Amino acid sequence: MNNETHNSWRSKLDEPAAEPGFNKVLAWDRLEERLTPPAKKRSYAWYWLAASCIAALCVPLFLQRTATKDTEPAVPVSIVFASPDKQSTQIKSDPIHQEANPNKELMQASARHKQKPEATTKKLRPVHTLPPVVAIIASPDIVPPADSAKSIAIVSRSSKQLKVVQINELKPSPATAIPTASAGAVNALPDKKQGNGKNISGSLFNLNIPLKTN
Amino acid sequence: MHIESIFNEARKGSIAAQKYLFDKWSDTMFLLCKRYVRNREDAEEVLLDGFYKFFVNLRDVRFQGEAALAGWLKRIMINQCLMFLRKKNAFTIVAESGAADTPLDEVALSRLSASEINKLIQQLPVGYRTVFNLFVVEGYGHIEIAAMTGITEGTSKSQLSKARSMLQKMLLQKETHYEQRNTQ
Repeated sequence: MNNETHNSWRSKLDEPAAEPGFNKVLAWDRLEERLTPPAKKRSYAWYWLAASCIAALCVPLFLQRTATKDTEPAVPVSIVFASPDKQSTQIKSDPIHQEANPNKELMQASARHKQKPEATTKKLRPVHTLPPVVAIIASPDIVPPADSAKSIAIVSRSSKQLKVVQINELKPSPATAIPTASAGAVNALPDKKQGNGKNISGSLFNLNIPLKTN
Repeated sequence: MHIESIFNEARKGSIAAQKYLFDKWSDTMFLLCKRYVRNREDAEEVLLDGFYKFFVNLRDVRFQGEAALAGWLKRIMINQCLMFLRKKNAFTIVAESGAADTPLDEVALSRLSASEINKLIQQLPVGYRTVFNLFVVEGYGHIEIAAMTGITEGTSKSQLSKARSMLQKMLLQKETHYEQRNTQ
């Protein structure tokens, strides 16, 4: 009996309606705020460390590069234009430079050629490891104009001497015989051996026609 | 949803599961805190601290049933209340010996409503109230109370008898007040 009464008033204390409740939503919001871990503050020390490492790696490379640029001599770049009928130009240049921007270099070479068609020499970036490479460019836009007097190729003489034949020495072949009227006309011409003996072969009828002789 | 699965979710850090557990036990735990800590705002603060500890330490606990989990949460809340009282220097128990063990009229107490009982308990001084709550309401023994509060077993017993006698006086006053009202 005593235990029952004791349990009855004790159980009353645990009833939620015993006391006016509290603001559960507000309390939960506060608790949730505490439970959720705060966003980690971004540590800038790592960024500074990474930047200093990069700088430490880059500065010696830069210094080494500037030192080599000052000490080593420049390598000449020759641009030699071939004959216009071949429509090609030979440019001796630095291969690294060509890889960097070949179109720009070619345009510059073309402009220089218009001013000075002869072989030019220009000091470019030093090349100390690789030998200069000849690049053959077949681009028609950099070929010099055809009307340029200096750019016309010199046609060389044929080394073979052709025999000079007098017209009188020619003997018509039977296949190519001159018709009668023509033959008469030819016969009507004064002959050195016949006629008045006047030699006119050198003035009018003495033609120097180069003939191909085998 | 089964309480074990909710417990497991809360252990993993699920906010939804933690909110479910908070909604389930927050009212009961608030009443518990209010019995120890008189001030309402303080009781709410202690409640939040207790729930925070509960959720943080949940990952180290194995599920052994709902009653065990509720008991563990209750224990956390009581410890939190005692810590709060110690921090506020409100928990000053003066050792008093030779107090006569006054029996509490539990029949009269059971006639009262829950809010009336709570009001009577809250009128007790801090020391009396704490020992009374721990011994009578929560069911701890004097040795446990001594260990929890840092007092001797004898002091706990004397505090309890004083609390009972004081509560009995208040009950008698209340009953005479009711009788006077009924006769008028």
